[in-house]
Amino acid sequence: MLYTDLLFVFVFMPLTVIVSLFDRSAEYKNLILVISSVIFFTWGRPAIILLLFVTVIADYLLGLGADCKKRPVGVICLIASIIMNGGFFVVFARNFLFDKGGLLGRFSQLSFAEKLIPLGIAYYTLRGVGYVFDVFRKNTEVEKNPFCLLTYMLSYHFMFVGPVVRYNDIRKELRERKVGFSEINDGLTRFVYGLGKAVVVAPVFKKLMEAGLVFENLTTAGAVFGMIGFLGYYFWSFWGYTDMALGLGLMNGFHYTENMLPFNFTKGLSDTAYAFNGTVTKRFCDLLVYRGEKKILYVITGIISALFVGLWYGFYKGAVAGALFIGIFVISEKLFLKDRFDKIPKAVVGLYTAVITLGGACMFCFDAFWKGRKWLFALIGKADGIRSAAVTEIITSNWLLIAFGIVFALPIVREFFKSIGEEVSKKGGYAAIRILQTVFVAVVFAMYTVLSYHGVK
Amino acid sequence: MGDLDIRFSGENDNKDLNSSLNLRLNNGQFEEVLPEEPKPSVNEILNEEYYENLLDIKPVEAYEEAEEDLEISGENIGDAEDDEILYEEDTAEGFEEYSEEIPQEEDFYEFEEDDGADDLVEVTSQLKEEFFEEIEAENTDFDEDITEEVGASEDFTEEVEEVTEGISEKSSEEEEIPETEEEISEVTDASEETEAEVSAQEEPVDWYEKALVSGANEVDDNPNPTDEKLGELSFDTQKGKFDFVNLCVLALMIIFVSLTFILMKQTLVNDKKAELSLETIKTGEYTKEFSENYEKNLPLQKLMAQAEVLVKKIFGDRDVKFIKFNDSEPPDGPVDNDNIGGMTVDDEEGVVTTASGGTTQVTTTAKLPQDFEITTSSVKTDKAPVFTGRPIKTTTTKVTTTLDLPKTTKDTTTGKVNLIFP
Repeated sequence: MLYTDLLFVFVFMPLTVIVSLFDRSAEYKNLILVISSVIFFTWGRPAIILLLFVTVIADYLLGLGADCKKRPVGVICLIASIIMNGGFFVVFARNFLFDKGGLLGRFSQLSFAEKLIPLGIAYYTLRGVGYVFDVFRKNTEVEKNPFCLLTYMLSYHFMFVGPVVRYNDIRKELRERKVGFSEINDGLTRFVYGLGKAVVVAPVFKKLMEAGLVFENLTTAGAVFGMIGFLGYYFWSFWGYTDMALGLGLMNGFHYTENMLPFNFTKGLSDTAYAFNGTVTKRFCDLLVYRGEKKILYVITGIISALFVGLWYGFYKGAVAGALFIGIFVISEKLFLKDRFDKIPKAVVGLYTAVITLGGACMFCFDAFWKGRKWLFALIGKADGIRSAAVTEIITSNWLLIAFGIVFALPIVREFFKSIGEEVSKKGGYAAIRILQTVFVAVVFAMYTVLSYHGVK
Repeated sequence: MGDLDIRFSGENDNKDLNSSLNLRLNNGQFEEVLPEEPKPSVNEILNEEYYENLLDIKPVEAYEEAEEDLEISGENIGDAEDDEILYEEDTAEGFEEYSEEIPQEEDFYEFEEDDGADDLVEVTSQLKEEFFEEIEAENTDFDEDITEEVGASEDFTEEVEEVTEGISEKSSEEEEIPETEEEISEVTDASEETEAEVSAQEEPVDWYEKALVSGANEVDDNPNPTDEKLGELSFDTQKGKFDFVNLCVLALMIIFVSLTFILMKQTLVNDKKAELSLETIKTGEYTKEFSENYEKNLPLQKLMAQAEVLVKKIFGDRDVKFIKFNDSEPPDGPVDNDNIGGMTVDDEEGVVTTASGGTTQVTTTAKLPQDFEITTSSVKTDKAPVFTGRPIKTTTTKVTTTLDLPKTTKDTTTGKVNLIFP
């Protein structure tokens, strides 16, 4: 089951929200959340995948051990958690490595059918390691109630694209939270916005990507617009799924951390790097980056962190290269460049950040170096042609949504419209603004329904 | 003559303990100097005590003015019933005007839904209960209280509170209004005169009188904090209403679609292959089929098709189909319908017959660019057939592709794709 399934939106989600309102206690809501998560994960999949979630017990015990006053015991527990969760990540999230001819093909007995791999397993394992690490570093109190930890680990709210919620962030809400009219309204509205982003806008960019990035016949127009499609597709998908996760959380009384922040190029690369799926990047930085005085250690651990971020996103050359590329610039910025930014015009800083960010993000697109090379040549005109009929067809057919997607991906545009809305509200147009908002949300919801309906036919 | 200011501050159990005593030497004896009552701070305004104070003070002020006006006019004074009537008329109007700005009972229910307002609601409801209990207790001696306490009040504040409570009770009881209307008519002249005098005050004495006269939400060059907070309360109430409408719209959409799907689905049972059992649930077959059937058998197909056309007209056709080569190696076969010889054919219609190492035929309905033309067929080399009017290089030489697609200028082209694997 996916968040975008009609069955989820019109049956599963409303039922779970309504049932969870029957009792005000957090314990009851946690119980409903765990039960609904179990149904969610086993829907259309073998129930045996739930065995994976027994690792919650292991993480619970390792967390208790990590809290031990004897530091060696804590270190051992932390290492054990890293090995266990890392192992599950490789086996389940990167199972193709165990295929015949794969990097770990000699262990082909660990190759599973896709239906045996739980959704969002990468985020699940990252949460497990993160919890034990936070306990070890005293960033959070150890959880002595296994049911609370089970709710945190198993919640289907943030399984797809995060956010990687830290245990300390929702620790209190696991024990006491209120779900009222306001939370349900805000949560449902945000969920619908997420649906619109993921179902209405993102697929158009996917089409553009598929039409443009045909490496056997790469034209200049295909290289440019295909990359716009690639960036737009992942940006709007992540944004949409994050909104849905935060909306689901709100409807259940949780206030999760924002995962997609408005990127501001003028603030430099180190800020921009956290804007996209920022909770994942921050989590890896917390886990791996050295924070002491020795710069050499900072550089080494920073590069290792970037490497792991790349591997976590995808086990291919482009992802690793892209993450390392951005990581090295971030490290350089923190060590040398940050202080000089004050003396440089903001426009220059913004341009520098934009180029590096887009350069690194583009690398994620290529699973082989020859593709990246060909793409670069295509950009300067050394391609199999200039225009692409497929790209033209996609753009002319979907120009409105593509334009919307490009324009509203820019934070400055969103801020502009937000300020206009606030200004109009102050001058007595609040009612009009709110009515417009409601109409817009309703239209987005109707579009999702129509397009999803068609999609399954 | 000087003041002696004694202050104490400390901390115990993380609670600040502060107190002060201000004494004034007067005729050899110390008198306690009571601090002036400060204007409400921003936080106090949202505090429940503020509501209580407002409820107590405002009508009293209006009553006081009416009392003074009556004294000035020299008429209809001394009769307890008349006092009461005048009081009711003047202060009820002031109270009504004022009550537009204070939360009403229905507002409390709205606040109840808001985050952070639960405590306020609880405290307010307690205050309301206490309020009405006190009113009931005092209501019996109300007339006497009016005449006695107003005339000879030494502790003005307490008396005013009691009177105010009585007035609030009176003004809120609708069943008493018809009785007083007759009485009001007896003192119409006096009350009209009083009203005129009240309204003739050009400069309101203080902030809340100004709010009474001009309205709390009126834009002021120097808005006092209470006006601002009352404005915010009004804004919150307004926001709550629109939130409610927003939620209702979305919830109704969900309910409508859900119920429609439930009520109009007829073929779900017929399509079932996996029976409901523990085994099929364990394997996921039942739930998977449930999902597929649910989505395959959705009702309102014609309506949805029309809606889809409308969406396409407005936002463009997001399902443009195009055929392209991808970079994957050709499969050994049997081939996947979505990946034929390394070629992706989007959204095929028709049956694909596949034989391992043999010939694959697929009937494809695809929307192609209008400049589509076939320039090659039965290609055996690394030159693949052209779908977009230009030669396409392919990295593999293992695939021999035969295509038979008619040249057309229509949006939709139906043809055959034959892929032969050596």
